[in-house]
Amino acid sequence: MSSSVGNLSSRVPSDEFVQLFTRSQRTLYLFILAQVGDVHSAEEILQETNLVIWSKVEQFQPETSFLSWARQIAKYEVLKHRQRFRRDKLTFSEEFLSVVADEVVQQAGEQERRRDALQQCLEKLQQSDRELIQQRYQPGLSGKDLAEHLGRPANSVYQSLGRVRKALLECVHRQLSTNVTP
Amino acid sequence: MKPSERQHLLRIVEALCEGLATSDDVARLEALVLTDQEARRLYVEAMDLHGELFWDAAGAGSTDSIPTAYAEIAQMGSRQIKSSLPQRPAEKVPSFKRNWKAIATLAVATVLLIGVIAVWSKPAVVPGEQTIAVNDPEGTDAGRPAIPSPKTMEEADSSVAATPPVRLPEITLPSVSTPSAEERGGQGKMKPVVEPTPLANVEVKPVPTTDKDLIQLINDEIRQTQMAHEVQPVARAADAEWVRRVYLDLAGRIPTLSETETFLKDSGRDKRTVLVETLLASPAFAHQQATIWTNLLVGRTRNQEIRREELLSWLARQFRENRPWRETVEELVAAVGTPDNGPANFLLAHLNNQAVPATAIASRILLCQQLQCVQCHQHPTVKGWEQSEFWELNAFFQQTRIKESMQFDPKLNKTNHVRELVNNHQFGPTYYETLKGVMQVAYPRYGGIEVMVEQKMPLRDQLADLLFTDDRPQTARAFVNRTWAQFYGYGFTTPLDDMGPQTPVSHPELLEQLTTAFVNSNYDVKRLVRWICLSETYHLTSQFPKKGNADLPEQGELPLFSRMYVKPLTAEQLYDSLVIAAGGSADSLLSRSAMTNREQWLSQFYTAVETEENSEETTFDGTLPQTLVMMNGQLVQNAIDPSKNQVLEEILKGRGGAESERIRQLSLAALSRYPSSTELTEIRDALRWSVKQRVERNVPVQIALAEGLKDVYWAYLNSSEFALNH
Repeated sequence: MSSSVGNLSSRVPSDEFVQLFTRSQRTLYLFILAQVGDVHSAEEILQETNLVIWSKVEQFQPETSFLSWARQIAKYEVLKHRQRFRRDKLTFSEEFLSVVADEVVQQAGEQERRRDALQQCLEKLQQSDRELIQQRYQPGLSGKDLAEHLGRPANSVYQSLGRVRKALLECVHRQLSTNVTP
Repeated sequence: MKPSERQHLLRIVEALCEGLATSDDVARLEALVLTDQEARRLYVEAMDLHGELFWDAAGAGSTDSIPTAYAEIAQMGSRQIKSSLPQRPAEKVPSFKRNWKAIATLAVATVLLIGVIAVWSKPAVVPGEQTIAVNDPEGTDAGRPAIPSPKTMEEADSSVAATPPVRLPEITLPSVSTPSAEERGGQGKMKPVVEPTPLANVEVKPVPTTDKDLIQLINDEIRQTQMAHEVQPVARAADAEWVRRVYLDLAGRIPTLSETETFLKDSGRDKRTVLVETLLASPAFAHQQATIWTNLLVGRTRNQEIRREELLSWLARQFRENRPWRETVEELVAAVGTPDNGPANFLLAHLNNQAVPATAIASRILLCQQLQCVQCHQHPTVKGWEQSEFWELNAFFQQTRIKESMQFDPKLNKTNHVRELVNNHQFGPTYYETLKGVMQVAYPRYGGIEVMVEQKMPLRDQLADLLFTDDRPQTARAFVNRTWAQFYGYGFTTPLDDMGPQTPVSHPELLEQLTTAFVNSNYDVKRLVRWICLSETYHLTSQFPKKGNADLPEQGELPLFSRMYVKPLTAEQLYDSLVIAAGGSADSLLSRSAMTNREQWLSQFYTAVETEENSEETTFDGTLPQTLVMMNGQLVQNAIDPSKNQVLEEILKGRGGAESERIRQLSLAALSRYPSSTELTEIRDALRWSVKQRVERNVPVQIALAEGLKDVYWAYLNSSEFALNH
């Protein structure tokens, strides 16, 4: 993180704020990720967002939606990041960002259920597939690294990963559509 | 949303997750998401999945996001907070699983990787400690490493302030059983293997570093494969057969009469090795190599746009000074300048047509990969060779153009049209059309590495770097394959210049080992040639074994090198050999005038053809034009003219005495060998008969004899044996 935290507000944040903050992290991260498409950029942007959040503690009105407020900040950070890396070919258009952001918010209600479903679906995977996924998502590891480490051709690893991810996606989808909580 | 679109979307998201998405993909994704509600939903679900997996695994961002100053404050209410910290789902330690494949367990190698650093950073090639690549067909895996659950979360609870040290788990690879060399050699008897092993996956045992050991390695590998196919190598070639072969292969010409005599009379035990070394050090070697590669790079036809001789002399210098092959390739790829600059001629010759020929030829010649089909459509048999392969390589050449200008030459006092190869400052991506008519964009990318737009270095320089970034780059492998084929007639793959998963390899381990050795030697061309020429296989005769065998590459089977395959002489070799046979000196062949003459002589056989690959047509293929030239051409006429051919003159003058002896001399001069006794008898009889004929027509005996001998020599020169390298 490049920017300093010198401009922190003097007000001590309430417990409530801290709680809201930590609870929102995952949601914010997923919100950002859908807009930028890359897990590492999303992390960076999240960190930037957090800095801003903490510097603007007093601006938050209690009783209002923390998430909405935080999302606004995140949106802005996404745009900033995009500006900086504008010439990177993986840049989505602003229209895409806004459309996707809306969709994420819409799906946000299901997030808890989705998470649970994912855990269950992971259990349902074949042992080897689950291990593959777990290895792939080790921090700092890329698919290519994994391929090297496993001694398999990269393409074959990508294929397998794709297969497993697809299976998980279907499984989660199925879980959500069948287990409609009242 | 159509199922195909759904698939497509998911595929793009996959690519995105793995960092493989192209800007193409991004554009497609946007299009889909913006127009289709279902697509939008699917995209978000898929990214959500990826993000969840990532977040849960990393645990990062959950704790080190709170700035230090607030950490203490947060500590005050830490009791409440602990419960709200993202809980890591109960991590089940995957059981250590060994999945033995049902194969022979010879050569079981256990690799212990201590410390993750050894895993994540590129392992250096250390003998005895190489990462064993598992030859693993898709889907089945020989065991998985155990992953102990990371302890980061517990630490995070106690000290929110400190960023949990990113401790990567220790990974121990289970014993991996690799298919033994014999097995791999034995599989798929003579038919191409159904699933050819991608060469990058071939296991490379530690490669020796001394010439002697490498030569032994070649011998062993070849022998092993032969044994697996139950084929015996033939006997060694006789000296006469061998000396001609080695002169042709290394010096591009037959040995002179005296060179042959000297060698045959030499009784030293190491005379063959000594001769190889002598020839390697001679300028003729450099010249021949330069000729071969000039022909490959720009063809033989005279091209107004370039100065072929500059390329030739530059290459000759490179080979003479034994510059690393890597350097030569890099200069060829990145060259700038006018035709005066040798290496620039390569691209100057092929940059037409939006660098399409340049791309195709560079790929075929330097990488032995035929990409030209992929220009217009996905490769029919090689998965993964999409159109983008061709165009992403092509994109590297887009920054280059040929600047045409008129320059005044004060020496000649006239204005010349000059073409100069330059790198532009600006450049853009390249655009191409798919079969369906959709315009696609391609950014410069090679070997999976995309070039950063911001980099200052010219694109071609970057390509030159990228061509050699691997441990065993394709450029090295291609050179090994070509050079091997140069001496043996067949490379490890057929076709020679189409290496890829679709082409079976006759000796995959040997090829990889030689490639590694070549790279380790810093691309030392002469050393590679030495290993090839001093191996046992190079000593073998080309005579077909009496009992017949199963080594028939001419019929499309993979070569076993159990005998020396017969190679036709190249046009240059034929020319040079005729000059030698006509009594010319070896040194004279290297003069400029000789080269000009040779080029002129060659031009009658080669014409340029306007295709997308700047190809050539040749009539030098053993058919009528070649035959006629041999029979009636000036060179042969000179050869049989004693006033022009000193060697012949001496033979005719009676150096040796009896007819038989003179015939033997003629044979030695033309074919570098003495005739067999049957041969001798027959030729002598024919000679006598022809003399008799002439004498009956009142030709003086001496003249008749001379004429007769000339006829014999002519016959030798026109024999198929002369035109072959055996």
